[in-house]
Amino acid sequence: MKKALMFLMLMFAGLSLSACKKDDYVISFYWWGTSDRNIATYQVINLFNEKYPEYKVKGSSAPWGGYLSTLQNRLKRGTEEDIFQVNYNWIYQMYGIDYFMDLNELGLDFSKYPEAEHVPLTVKGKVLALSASETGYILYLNKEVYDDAGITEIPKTWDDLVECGKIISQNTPGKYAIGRLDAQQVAIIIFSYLAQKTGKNVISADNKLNFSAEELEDGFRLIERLRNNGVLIPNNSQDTHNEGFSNPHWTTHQNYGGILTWNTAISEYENTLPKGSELITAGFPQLKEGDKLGMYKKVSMAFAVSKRVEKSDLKKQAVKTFLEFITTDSEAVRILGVDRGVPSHEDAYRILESSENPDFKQTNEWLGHEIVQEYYDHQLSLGQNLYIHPYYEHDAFRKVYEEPIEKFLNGNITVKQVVNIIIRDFDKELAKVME
Amino acid sequence: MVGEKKWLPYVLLIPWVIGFLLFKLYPFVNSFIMSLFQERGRTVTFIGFEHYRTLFDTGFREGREFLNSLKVTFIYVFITVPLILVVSLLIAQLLAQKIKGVGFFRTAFYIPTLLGANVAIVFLWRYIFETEGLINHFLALFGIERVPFLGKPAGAMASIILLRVWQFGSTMLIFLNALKNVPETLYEAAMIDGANRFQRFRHVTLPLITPIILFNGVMRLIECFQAFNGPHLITQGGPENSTRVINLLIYETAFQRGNLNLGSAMSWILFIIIMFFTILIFRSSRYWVYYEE
Amino acid sequence: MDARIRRMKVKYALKETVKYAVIIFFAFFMLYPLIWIIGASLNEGAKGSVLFWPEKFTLEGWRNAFKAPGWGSPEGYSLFRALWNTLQYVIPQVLFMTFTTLITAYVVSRFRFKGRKIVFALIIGTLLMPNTIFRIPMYAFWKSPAIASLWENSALPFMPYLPLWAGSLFAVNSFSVFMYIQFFRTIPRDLDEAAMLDGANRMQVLFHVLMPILKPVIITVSLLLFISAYNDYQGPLIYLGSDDTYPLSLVLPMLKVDSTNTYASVYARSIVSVLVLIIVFFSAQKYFVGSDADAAIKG
Repeated sequence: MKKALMFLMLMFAGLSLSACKKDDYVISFYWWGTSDRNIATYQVINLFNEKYPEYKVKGSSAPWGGYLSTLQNRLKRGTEEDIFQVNYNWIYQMYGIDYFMDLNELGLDFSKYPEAEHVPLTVKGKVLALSASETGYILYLNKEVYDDAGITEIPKTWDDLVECGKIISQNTPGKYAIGRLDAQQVAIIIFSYLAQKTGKNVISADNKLNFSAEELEDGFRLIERLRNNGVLIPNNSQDTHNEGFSNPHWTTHQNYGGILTWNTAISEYENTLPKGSELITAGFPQLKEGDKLGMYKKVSMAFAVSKRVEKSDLKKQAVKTFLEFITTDSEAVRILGVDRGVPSHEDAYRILESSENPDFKQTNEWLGHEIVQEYYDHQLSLGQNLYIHPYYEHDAFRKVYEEPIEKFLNGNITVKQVVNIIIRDFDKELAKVME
Repeated sequence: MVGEKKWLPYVLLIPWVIGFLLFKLYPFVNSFIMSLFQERGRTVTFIGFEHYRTLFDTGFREGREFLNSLKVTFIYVFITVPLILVVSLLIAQLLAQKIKGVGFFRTAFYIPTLLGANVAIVFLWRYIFETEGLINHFLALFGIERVPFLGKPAGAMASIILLRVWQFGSTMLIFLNALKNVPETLYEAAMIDGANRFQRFRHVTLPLITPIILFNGVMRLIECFQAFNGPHLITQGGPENSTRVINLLIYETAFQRGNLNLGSAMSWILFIIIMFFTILIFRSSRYWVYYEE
Repeated sequence: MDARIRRMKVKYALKETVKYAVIIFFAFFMLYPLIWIIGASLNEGAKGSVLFWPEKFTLEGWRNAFKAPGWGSPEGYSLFRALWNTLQYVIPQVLFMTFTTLITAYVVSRFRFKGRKIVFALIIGTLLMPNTIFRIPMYAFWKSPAIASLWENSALPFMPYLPLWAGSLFAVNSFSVFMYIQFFRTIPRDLDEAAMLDGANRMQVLFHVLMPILKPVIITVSLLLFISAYNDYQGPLIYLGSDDTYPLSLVLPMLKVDSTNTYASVYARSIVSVLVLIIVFFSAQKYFVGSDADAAIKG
């Protein structure tokens, strides 16, 4: 039986191999997105195919929901697309060193990107993905909620935010200055706040937790303060919508006045608000007004290329042309807009900057981006490195801090308990994941 | 038989044989073999029973997750299966008597099963159990304080149990069929002996349908141990892993995190557990199942 | 005398009322969600009330129900594509499985051959085996480079869904085999023997003599297979990666609420999806084993 199976498999393998070579001018491109990004990307692909008839790009989109597992398993079996969109940390989580092509071999012009941009995407000297944009956490506010409560000034510090929370819950009971945040968002608040106080990245250079129990407790006390004063809902179990942007309290009832999220992801939240709503970019709350601290950043998403492209010069040409097209062709860049964030590529950035209709500089992505870069550069000048650690968002590792924080947010464990759990497991799990 | 070719049964069975070897035996053996290896990037190493040891060790995160999923699954199975059996038997008994519009009612009771994992059901179910949802709306009418069902482990579990019990249609149809096969004469004899409705049910109906109860019970047990849709779509395993049933954990481990080997080890443990309970029920059946022969 | 009869009649009427009341009460809970969903599809925004009547009436959901911009192309695919995707594995699955399991059950029930007991035992054995044990290796098998090139991204119809229906060629659904075997038990062997004495061979016996009697169980088996294939969620979830191949069971939960995909359209699409099932079910349900089957046999 086994022999028969082997024979069958060899036969099929032979058939499939023979079907391989002739189509190297065709490259496949796989990405995730919601309808806006998909529509734009398909339009750009059509445009490329028109302008470069010697190549053909076949695009396929997928919703976020199955993307990671599909990509991961295609990589394992060698059936991944030629170009695929990745999150920054997947280079490590998915063993990019084994599966992604070294982009140095494509002949792309990396001088068009900021110097340090691709360092986190480089492993053992190989650049494993092309950065689309950088991103950082920004506070966005629902104008209507704040107007209704009579607030006219954007909160700039944590104290301001608490004040807003008090005013909103007094004047418009049932509404919140922010609303519901999930475990990851709360984690970012705590680690950013602690960075503002201590200048330390949550993960140290030797891959250990950089905060003591007292410091962590301080961070959680901030969260308690926000929950006690109408900024955050007092208990997450009263609202179990895990997805912020489809939460009826955000979209239909508009009880939640704000959201803290990556500036590249803000369109998800804008899209589900009723027409006529407005989101305002509110920077990131500080300890003292005028500070520019506590800003983590990372490459938001990048384009990785399959290792199989290495073997074919024609494919390499096609891939290079396409990647350059989406970052330098003015029509393509304008169609793609800021949906994948504000592009890090110089040319793309200038194209969008000079565009007057639509005016990308007024989008919430752009405004958030400026703040992220400004604050991060300021921190660099102070010697602070708040770049997101490559394993911080690793699927298995992140549960180490997200699960206890979720328990805390549901009111099931105390501050001391959650801090103990994190301290107990953090270094151990990180070491395990990184081996 | 005159003229019957001896090889006919064997030839006709070839598809089934191929199916058995390729789709049952091969994966069965292979999943065990896979569970003995570990993959990191492109390197595959043999680690023997390491995965199994990890899964039962609370010192490891995987072990804690797995044991929690086992506990959660047991709770789900041993509440849902009896509930389904009781409810579907009750309704089947009612429908078995002369009812006008039996076809309409049969479709009506089957509609929940047809709706399956439909996303609209997901929204509806969340709405029912939400803090400002249907149940709390009623509680508020009586002045009872709102309960955040989906935010509490017991409430979330209740929501997925209710979803599965609501879909009792297929079990009910099997009971209905069995009830229809109980000979009228037995009921008439019992009535002559003065038995009332409950006594007739208890002494005539129940014993005769025990084989079907056994069948339904075993089939539901096996199915409920592998529940996936409800926990995945409605509660996503939460809150805090209180509805992360074992099949959901296997899905996340094998397909989302890409660890097919650890997932295979989990599947094997699940298999052994299911087999254990199935055999247990069958063994016990000689004490309560009445076979008419 | 009259008084006692009247009392019995009253008692009877009371029992009947209670019986109908209970059934209607339960049927209400089975049906109301469907009505609620219909109402939700005509409502703007997330539905927040238990009453099915829309709070903010809008036809937008239904207008957008059949198109999904951004799904697969700038204009997006239509819902019918998702339906067609679904049918591409449901139809082969139902067609082939009904047939192959029937043949297998026929052989096991009616033929006498060496190994019959083993085959029967294996069928019952696999019936009791949980699916999860097969899923991961079959996944590795179908996704292996050699095999995946057969079906993944194939331009032919039905092929991109091969992992979801290939088993139907080989009678792998033990439950269907089991149902057929149980049904064959109720058909006396005399029928077969009489026909064979008249010169019919085995296959003719099956297709000409037994087929009319088997009609109810065949329809039952196909219907159950149809429902389970149509509602299969985890299968497509793990095998299908690009959204142009998504069937209805995936499209609905996956396409998130965003600027072009409102709550109302999600509800409207799910109604279309379940409507197909309801129509199929309602037309086939009168054949369900237990109603006509008894009459057919006794006759």
